[in-house]
Amino acid sequence: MRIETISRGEKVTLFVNRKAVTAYRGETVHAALLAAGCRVLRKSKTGAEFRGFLCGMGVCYECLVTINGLAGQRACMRLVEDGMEVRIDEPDL
Amino acid sequence: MTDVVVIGGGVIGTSVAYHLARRGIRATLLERGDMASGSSGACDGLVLLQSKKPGLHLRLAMESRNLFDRLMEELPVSIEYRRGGGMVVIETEEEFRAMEHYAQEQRETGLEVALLDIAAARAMEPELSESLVGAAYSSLDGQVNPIALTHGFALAARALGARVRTHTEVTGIRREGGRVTGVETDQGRFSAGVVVNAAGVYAPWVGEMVGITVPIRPRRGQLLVTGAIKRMIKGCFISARYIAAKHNPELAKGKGEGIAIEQTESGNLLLGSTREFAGFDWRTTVEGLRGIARRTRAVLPGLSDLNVIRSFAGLRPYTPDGLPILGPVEGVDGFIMAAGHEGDGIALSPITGELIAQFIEEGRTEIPLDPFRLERFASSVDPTGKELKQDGAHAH
Amino acid sequence: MSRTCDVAIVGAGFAGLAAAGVLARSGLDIRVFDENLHVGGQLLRRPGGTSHVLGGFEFDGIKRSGLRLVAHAARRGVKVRGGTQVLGLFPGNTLLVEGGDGTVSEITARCVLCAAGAREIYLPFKGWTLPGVISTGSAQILIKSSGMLPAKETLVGGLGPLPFVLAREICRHGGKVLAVLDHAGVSDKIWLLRALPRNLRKLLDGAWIMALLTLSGIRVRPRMRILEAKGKTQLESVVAARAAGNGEIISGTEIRYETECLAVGFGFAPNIELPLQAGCAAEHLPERGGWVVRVGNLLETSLENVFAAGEVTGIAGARKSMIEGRIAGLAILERLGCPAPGSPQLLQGLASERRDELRYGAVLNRMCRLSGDWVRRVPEETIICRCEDVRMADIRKALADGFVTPGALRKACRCGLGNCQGRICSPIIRDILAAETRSDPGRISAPSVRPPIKAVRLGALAENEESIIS
Repeated sequence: MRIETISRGEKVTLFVNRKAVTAYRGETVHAALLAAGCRVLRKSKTGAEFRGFLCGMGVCYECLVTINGLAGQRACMRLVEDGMEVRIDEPDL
Repeated sequence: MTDVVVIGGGVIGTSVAYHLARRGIRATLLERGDMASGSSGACDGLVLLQSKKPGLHLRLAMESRNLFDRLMEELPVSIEYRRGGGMVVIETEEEFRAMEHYAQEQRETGLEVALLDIAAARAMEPELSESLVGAAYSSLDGQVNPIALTHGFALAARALGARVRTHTEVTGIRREGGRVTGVETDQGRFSAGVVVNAAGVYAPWVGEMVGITVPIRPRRGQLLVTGAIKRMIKGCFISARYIAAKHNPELAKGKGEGIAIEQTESGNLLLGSTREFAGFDWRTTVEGLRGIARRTRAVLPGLSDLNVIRSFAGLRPYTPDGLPILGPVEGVDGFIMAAGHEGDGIALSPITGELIAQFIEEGRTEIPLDPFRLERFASSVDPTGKELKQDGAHAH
Repeated sequence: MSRTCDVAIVGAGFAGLAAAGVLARSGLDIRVFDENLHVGGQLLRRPGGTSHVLGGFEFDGIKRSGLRLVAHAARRGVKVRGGTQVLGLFPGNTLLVEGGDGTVSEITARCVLCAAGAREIYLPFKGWTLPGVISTGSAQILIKSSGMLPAKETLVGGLGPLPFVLAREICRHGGKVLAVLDHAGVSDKIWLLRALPRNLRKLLDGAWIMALLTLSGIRVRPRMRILEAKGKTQLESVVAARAAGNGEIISGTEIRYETECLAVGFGFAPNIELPLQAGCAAEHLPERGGWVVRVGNLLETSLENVFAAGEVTGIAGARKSMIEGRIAGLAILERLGCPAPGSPQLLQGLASERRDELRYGAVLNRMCRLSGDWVRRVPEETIICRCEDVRMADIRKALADGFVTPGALRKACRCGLGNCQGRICSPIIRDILAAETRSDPGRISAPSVRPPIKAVRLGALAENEESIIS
């Protein structure tokens, strides 16, 4: 959840699995997804488990999402851009 | 007390130990590092027939391939052997014509290979580049997990009574008269009447312990590993470049190495390779990484967006004629060679183990070992290892 | 064709920037690379592109020092290439580098400084892979870089100062902390007294944070072990219990917290992947936090003209990183034939300061040392290598089969072969090996590190500048 007392950059729109999501310039895709309520990002390699964010700093490769068509992107290492398309391999919920 | 000491815990040594144990012969396998810490742990898993020189080499490979089905049942780990088919990728018309000749020779040894134009090849493997000319295809080509295979041989050998010792380095071989009587290691002495040299690129070092020259040189092959993805290619790929070059040496000039590509059971793609004489340097290089990336992209352009997560390099035990060195050695009774498979070690490990074990037990082999003996080099090689003839099998 | 420069610095944290500041006076061609989009490393994380560092009052003033480093470097014209990943260091000091635009190029430097800092250590427990279980660092980054709380209510736990620092940050910004579950006990903190009187300001900062937490009514529980993270598709609750001095769980002390976010951290591991890949020697020094790059007094590694500074030579905090950056900068100036005036005296003073900070680091590392008792408590089905879904049962089976080195385990189980290349699981594997084979951790070295040390697009490797132009 966003800290209310912090001033932010301009508003941008992301499309997460084609749904419009509001974010602010300067935020990481990780933060924007979290603010939109996405903690579950994918399934583990053998499909046995659900996975989401862990290290937040580009080390663990758990937060992999598809950004603008390119798979295998670490959400925590990318800043939001207006019109960015993010695809999450949603588990069957 | 042991009957046989096998030196080298790679795919060849473990296969020999396993096949000996299967025959009830007491073996001790000695490996100076971890199991598969040499070339067998730094290679791809292609089990190809198409890359073998028609004639004896191909016959050996075909016999070996047949053994994989049996091994899938017998070994205690999943070796992930899979016959997904293999394609020899053809990039020019000249190569295509050369491959037609080659297919004829393969047919004579009993291997049926289909020559496909690029449309037919892409129907089977849609990721292939449209700018290729075609491919030679065999459904008998496949792949295996080389580390699992090595581990499987070792664990099965141990379960059948073999002694398997890692972190044990052989420092000398004891002889009495012209016979071997055992080995010295940094963990003590082991007595045996038979010693098998399965030390891969280090086989010459072991050979020196009994005063013989083994003309094996390390030939480095680099590989890239991608992150794991859903199945993208069905079978494996190699280049026609080197096979075709045997019929028309002009084709190999100035074009560099070809490709060797598979997707493993765990979903990673292994992208290879290089062929370099770089001594015992196990490192990968910038040129290697970039070159493999470029050559891969030219053949399978859809792989461009995959993440490369690692590279590694293995040292192939290269011999001057591309055939392994197998069998007894004159003047050193009880000393047996089982090394020098260059890029074919994984594919030929089952048959090598079987033949060496058969020789040790029965004194004879189903497939004659004479053409593979060390003595064939006596007149044709000097101690620096420079080959005088380059007439041999294509080792991938 | 590769480009060249005089000095390449990998990492624009306190060590890298301090070195750059020293080197910048000389007129040498210096390149600084950092994978982050901000300059200043972990401590100075702030919203992308801004210079406003979030953080409250501090006695020690280390953040202020860091901001001065940033300003100083900028004033002297040091350009940091952010969003840039170094993929490998090759013979002849050639770096393979992926730029912010995704292109891969090579640059050859006369001297290289490795200053890539550290990352967190993770401890597996039942359910730790559930979405919602994050690192304390991850929560800090959310707050400082993106102005985001990790959740409305967060449970914080682990070892060392970071859980407390995080708890304070969450409170300051209007979030709720359910509790701080300290892995260590109060008696472990006695070690800190050894750091007095020299490190008074640092300790005062620690005491200050504890006071603030107490005033905010946050419960700090010592000697707690996280037993299980529970939830169906994501975290819903956490069960923790108290441990006795010997690490045994005291029955009847289980507490259950309802939460969607657990932030845990268990100390730091140096990011030594680049020096290891290049072939630099490493050594195991418990007082420096474990496996570090081996360096001489002038911070040169075992590879000629490759230097290392900061957390990679030992975990001891930002002040040591700054000092070592300066030492490395001066040493490199000498090596390149343009020594700074007064260099020998400067180096002498810095060496003395470095010794002080190393002593402080030794105290912290002693206090934060994990004993191996947690290994016994890990259930068979718990994931150890997250990238490859390798479970404790798989590891135990491989150990029983005789695969008892990290390299052998990696081959037998695939742990460490995934996307993160062992960054998360290596410390865990080492602790398991040390516990299960009863070996000295100093004798359990890392398996090989190969390039690219971070993932890179195949297409980017295939291109070089020439092919882009043509």
